[in-house]
Amino acid sequence: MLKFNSCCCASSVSHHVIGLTNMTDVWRLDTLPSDVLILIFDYCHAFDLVRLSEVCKRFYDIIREETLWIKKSKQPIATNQTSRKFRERCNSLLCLRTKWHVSNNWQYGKYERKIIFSQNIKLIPKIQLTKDVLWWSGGNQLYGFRRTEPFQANNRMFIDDYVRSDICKFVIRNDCIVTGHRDGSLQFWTKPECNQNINFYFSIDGAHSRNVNALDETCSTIVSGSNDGTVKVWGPLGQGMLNVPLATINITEWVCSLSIDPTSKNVAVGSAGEIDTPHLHIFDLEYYKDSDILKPDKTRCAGTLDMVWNSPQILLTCGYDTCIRKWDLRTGTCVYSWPDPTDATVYCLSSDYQHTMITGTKFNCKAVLWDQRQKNYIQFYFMNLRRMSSPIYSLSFDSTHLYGATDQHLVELNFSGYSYKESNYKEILKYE
Amino acid sequence: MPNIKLQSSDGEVFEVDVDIAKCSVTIKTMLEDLGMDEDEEEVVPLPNVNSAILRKVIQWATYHKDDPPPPEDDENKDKRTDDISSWDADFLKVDQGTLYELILAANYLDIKGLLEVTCKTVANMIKGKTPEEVRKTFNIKNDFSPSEEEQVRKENEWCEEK
Repeated sequence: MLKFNSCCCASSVSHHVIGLTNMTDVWRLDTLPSDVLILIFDYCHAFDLVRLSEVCKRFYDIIREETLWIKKSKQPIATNQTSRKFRERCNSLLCLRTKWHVSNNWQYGKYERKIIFSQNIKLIPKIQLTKDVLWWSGGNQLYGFRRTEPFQANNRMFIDDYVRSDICKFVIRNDCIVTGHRDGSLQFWTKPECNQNINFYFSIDGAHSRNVNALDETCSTIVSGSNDGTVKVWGPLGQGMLNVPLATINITEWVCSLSIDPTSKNVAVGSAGEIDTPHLHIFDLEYYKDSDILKPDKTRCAGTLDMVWNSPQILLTCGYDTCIRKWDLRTGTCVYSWPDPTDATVYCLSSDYQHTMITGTKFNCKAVLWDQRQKNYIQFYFMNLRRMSSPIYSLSFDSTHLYGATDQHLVELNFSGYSYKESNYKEILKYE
Repeated sequence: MPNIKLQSSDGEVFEVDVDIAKCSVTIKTMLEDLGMDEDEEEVVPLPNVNSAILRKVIQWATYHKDDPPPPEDDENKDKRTDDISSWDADFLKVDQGTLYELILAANYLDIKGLLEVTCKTVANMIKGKTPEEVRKTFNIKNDFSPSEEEQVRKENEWCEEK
């Protein structure tokens, strides 16, 4: 980055008498003191600021400073890195000026698309993103792609053993990886440090009698949910009692999703919504009782496929009702909902724990960007134009990248750079 | 209405209604801190403002003396620049040198309304212009070397089509 250091001349200027008597020595814009220039530039749009920085070295230096970008990048879309939990999966932290520009790329659909990985069999994959690794599970495989620049798809961690049953869901813990399988087992794997292999640790066979679709963890417990209609809470690792659950909660229908709140006090459970019972429950993790906080509207809240705690009080859910719903535990009600623009089932949901949400939908490999402060969606992204029939089964994002898993591909959209071709589908589809 | 005497840098004395003079936070604070009584015949020196500019400032303050205080900034919104009243627009039909002197005077005297409207006027002159047009409008010399200019342009390419 260039640095010209020509700002310093400004302070001497400001001591001059404001009214100049000598007419040949008239004030010019580029001789005004820096604090006054900042006052003026503060009224300029970001695009004008960027062009101003090309005018002369002094403007360049002033505009490079964070000062003018503080307000403009205060609550931007996708690049707001105020949540610690979100920062933990951001590969890079951005300066304010970059935040504004990357946020702009998200909004106008300017990105570079890359297929990280593809395979021929159609699967229902899941992904999880951390700061350094993008994890992907599909069939009986689990891969960890290291987030190096440039991204190298062959630089991946994998399970070396034979996995006898397909992985339905997994979570990456600090110390290990937990996988939930089609045969109802929970398996534990060691997280590779520098070698390439994910090694078998131990398993709880028959943890459930059918698919383990939902999993979450805290430092002391693991909670699993299954098509067998139960949610089970498992004790800490390393205790001999682990293969007997601490608690079994009967839901009476398929458990599709579950998520433990940020305080580790409650777990939200979403079920398939086939029978006439509530499909969203909050259980406390002390007495394992339905806390009866939520009052879901039976007619409107069909099967919940994914959920995220935006804060200890706010739960976001999505599913067959084709909406994102925002539940506030303080009132126990759905306080807002955002319908999918094409009325498609929403398969998965990711959040920056502030205002940004991204959903993956049933058709067209379509991901949708949302701002919780706005009623309408911000933008959508077709993650794979060559295979439009697939849903996005799972997705995650950080400030600069969006990752989505379709039936045959793992796709990356990179928003961090400059001069991308614009794929502004919101604008394109407006006229259809 | 009591009056107060303001002296410009070049020695001219202006007699102004106290309420009008107090739209300058600097003068208001000065009067309060010094405990100046309104009937005292003291002169407030303003060594940073010449008579031509002070005359303009007083003209502006007199016209706007009954304005409600300007609203607090909304931190989350881009500032508007298209809300300049027609009187202000006429008032600010001056050469650039005078406009900057008004900005500096408004900044020194701490007159929020005048500072806002003058800064907006300059921002409007910048709006939508290419770097070369900005240089021409404001008579600014391009002090980048060709290679530096190339690099800066590369960094900024992302917003060029807008």
